[in-house]
Amino acid sequence: MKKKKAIIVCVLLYGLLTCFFYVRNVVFAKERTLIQHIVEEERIESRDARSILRAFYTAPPVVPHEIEMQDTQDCLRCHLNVTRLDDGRVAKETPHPQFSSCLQCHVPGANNEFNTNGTSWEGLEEPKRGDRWATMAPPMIPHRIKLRENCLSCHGSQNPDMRLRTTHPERTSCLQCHVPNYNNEFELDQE
Amino acid sequence: MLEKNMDRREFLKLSAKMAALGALTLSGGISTLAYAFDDESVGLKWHKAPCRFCGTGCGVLVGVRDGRVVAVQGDRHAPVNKGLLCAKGYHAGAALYGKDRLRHPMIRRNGKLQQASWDEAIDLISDKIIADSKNFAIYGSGQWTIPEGYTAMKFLKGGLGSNEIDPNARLCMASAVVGFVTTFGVDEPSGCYDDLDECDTVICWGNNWAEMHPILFSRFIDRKQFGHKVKMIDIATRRTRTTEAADYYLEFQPQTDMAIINGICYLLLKRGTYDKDFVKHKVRFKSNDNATITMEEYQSFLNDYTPEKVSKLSGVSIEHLNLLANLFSDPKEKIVSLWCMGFNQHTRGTAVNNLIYNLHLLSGKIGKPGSTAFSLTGQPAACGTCREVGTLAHALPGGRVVKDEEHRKDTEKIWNLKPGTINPKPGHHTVAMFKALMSGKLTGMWVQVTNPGQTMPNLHDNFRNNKQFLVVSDVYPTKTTELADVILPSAMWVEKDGLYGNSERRTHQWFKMINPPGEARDDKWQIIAVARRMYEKGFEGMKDKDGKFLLAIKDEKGNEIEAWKWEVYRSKNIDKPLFEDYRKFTTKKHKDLAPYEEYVKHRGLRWPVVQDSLGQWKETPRRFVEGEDPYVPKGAGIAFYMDKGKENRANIFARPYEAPPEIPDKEYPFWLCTGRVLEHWHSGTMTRRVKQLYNANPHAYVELNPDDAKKMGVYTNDKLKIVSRRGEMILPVSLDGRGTPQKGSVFVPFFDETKLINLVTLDAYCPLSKEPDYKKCAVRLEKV
Repeated sequence: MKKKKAIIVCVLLYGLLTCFFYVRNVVFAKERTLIQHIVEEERIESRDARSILRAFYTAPPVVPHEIEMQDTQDCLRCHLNVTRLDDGRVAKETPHPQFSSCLQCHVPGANNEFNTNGTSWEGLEEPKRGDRWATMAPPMIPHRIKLRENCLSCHGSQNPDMRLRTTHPERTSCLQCHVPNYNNEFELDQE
Repeated sequence: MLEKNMDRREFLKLSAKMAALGALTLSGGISTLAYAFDDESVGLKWHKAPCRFCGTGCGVLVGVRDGRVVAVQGDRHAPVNKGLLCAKGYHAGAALYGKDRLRHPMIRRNGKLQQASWDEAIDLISDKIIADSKNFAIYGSGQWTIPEGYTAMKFLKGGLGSNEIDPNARLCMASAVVGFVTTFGVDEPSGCYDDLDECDTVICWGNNWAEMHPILFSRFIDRKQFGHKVKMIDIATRRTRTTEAADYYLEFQPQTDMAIINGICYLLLKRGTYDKDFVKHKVRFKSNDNATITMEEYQSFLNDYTPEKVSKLSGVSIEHLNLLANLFSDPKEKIVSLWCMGFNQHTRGTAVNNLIYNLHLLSGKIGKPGSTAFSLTGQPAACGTCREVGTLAHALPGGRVVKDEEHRKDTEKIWNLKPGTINPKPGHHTVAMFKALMSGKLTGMWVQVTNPGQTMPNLHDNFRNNKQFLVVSDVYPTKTTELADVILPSAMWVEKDGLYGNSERRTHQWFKMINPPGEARDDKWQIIAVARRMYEKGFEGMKDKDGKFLLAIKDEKGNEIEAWKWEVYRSKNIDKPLFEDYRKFTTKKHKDLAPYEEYVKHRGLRWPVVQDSLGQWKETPRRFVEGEDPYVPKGAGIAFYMDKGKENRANIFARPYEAPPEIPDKEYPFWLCTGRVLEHWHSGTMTRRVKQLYNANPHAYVELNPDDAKKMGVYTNDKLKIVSRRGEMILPVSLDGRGTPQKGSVFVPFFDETKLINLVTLDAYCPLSKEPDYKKCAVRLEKV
């Protein structure tokens, strides 16, 4: 009797797991196809949407929403991991949780009183896509890695912006194929 | 060697020659003295500089493309900030590009400012100075580069025969200076930022470093993320972002910081848990009027500061006083005390600076890795220029003073002046200087790199009534240029060569990277040009002993550089010869600086920088500490070798608590405290022209305690009129914002030129340092 029961449980479990993986693969495949079909224009669109929050590439983005309590712990409540809010907004995960004083670099920017005619500042632009050695070769990382050590905070499948997601989140060792381009780390040029 | 317009081939040839000579060594990846500035640079290039803003002195890399700054990033090789910056630092480049940059000299004619030529402006200024040279003042700044401050100093003290020069740093760190000089016999912190990496506890004395020195704050607080067991105690009158990260918050009544420290010292002596060995060998006791006293006398002085009495006076609980005493009693505990304007802008600023050293000296918590009492500064060269060059009414370069005959002789010799040229009578300190200007005793003033029209206390009395001739060199229109008779457009930050000196004695160098806009020119050039015009008009003061031009600058071959001609000036590096000239002054007080080339190669060096037996220039992380400071004798361990009593001891002063000059009463029931915010730097002239920073904090406000607000029935954004005996200002209320003052007190930031809180503040100052107290005055609040 006992043996029978055990077998039934095992079969059920197997069935459940198979279903789970099947569904997961379908979803995954669907997502993968979606990501694979994102065209260059869409990526540029995404990049431009993000760069609005920065004075220049490598500047810390401003906080796009109102801040009430000005306490770092409050930032991390949503931004330590991806958090989906009731109103549909999604808080992104911080790529550098090792730094705990968020508001010293990221200043509130929702206020928009500043007259943009007041400045002739033109900042450095965001980089374009990473170079490939050959068509099928993995692209190099086009941006610098400083303060962006956690790749998946932007490129993971949790990012609400699909245009940034990787097609292969199951491969977790990013830097093994995608090498940083140290020209982008911006070192001193004084010879 | 430093020609700017050399072509690439010439440059390569020169590099090769230098390498062959082996004249320069590799360090931090910078190996040659190539002049970084290139008019026709295309493509992105990164150059090093210190940040333009506070006294932390972060290293930045400035991205330049097609003659414009396009990006700024933290320099990961910079030992101060290790690649990180604060919001101001990241946006420092954008501060250069406000559309209303001053581009042309302006002269006021018939009450209106009109565009003028440099020649006209220089002519007018030189005439005005010649007319009454002894009563012409220069009001400078802790943002002067070292060569700029040095030039202004030589021009005034060597050329005009008076000492009417003082910097805005008087409003910022004068109390720290006098505190250091009285306790240790020499100015500037002995510790360094490395102590923040090694300490167990940081105590913030009225210091909101989360906003004012964010890079140092994160350098410490991020240690928690790495599992270090560290704690922070915030002793303040207002809850701030620092408080949010603190383990303990001790709220005290304004001015009672003096009593609290004496109270801890009382407990240490009573319990016998002070560092007996250290006290026996390294310190001596002094009364309030500088007479040597015994330890017993000091102890009986402290009997007034029992925990009960201190607790009653200050509002800090006995439990918390014991907590502090326990920390200082524990010989293993490594403690860093930090302060900035809370101690310095204090009518007993010098005394309270002395008191904090008392505490660290009694407990032996100084001069050991992780233990120090560290005074922070707010301007990039408050230390490097104001304190070291000494652009103060009483000082001469390198820690010298005008009162001392030997010091004057030294200076006259180096400057090649006729004996007796330097006036032994100190000039007016800042508040007195502006009062003298208002009363007409001083007949003219030249303001450079600062904005007294916004930052002087009690603005009505100390700025607004000016009728005298006012020259202002600045980069943007300000509250000061509004009253100017002549406005000179200046080059800013990486538009010129420079050297700054930060809070930890670190001297930074940078090269010019881009051209200033329009006709803007360096502050230093402006002074040289006026001096030369005066010389040409036959003004005796502008001649040295041999009748030659006082501010003559020679190149390496000994040929005079005609620096007063802009076309010549802009093609040369004038900083190097000026710095080498200034260096001669720096050894007297053992603040030795290395040659200019060393600073080109390094991301700053902490003085004393002394050559070792192998000829390498070595910096000094901790002063007075054997093995780190080359001037400490072998076997001494810690030696306060600048002791005026020549015993290598530091002074412990019996400084009593004294009440502030203006205390809230029935008519004016609230305390007013003023201060800064993270996004804006001081008067906001630069940061309010950066979109991101402006939007983050567009206008000033008044912070209230929620209980007081409830009692008054006011809510966020309601308008309140703040009235003092001197002036009034209407501001929107901010409740539960980034700071919450204690009950009975309000806080207003001073960055906003549209809401000048300094019309309200008090100009009472510390009798020793002459630094005014912006943190305490009595006000009344009226609903509008």
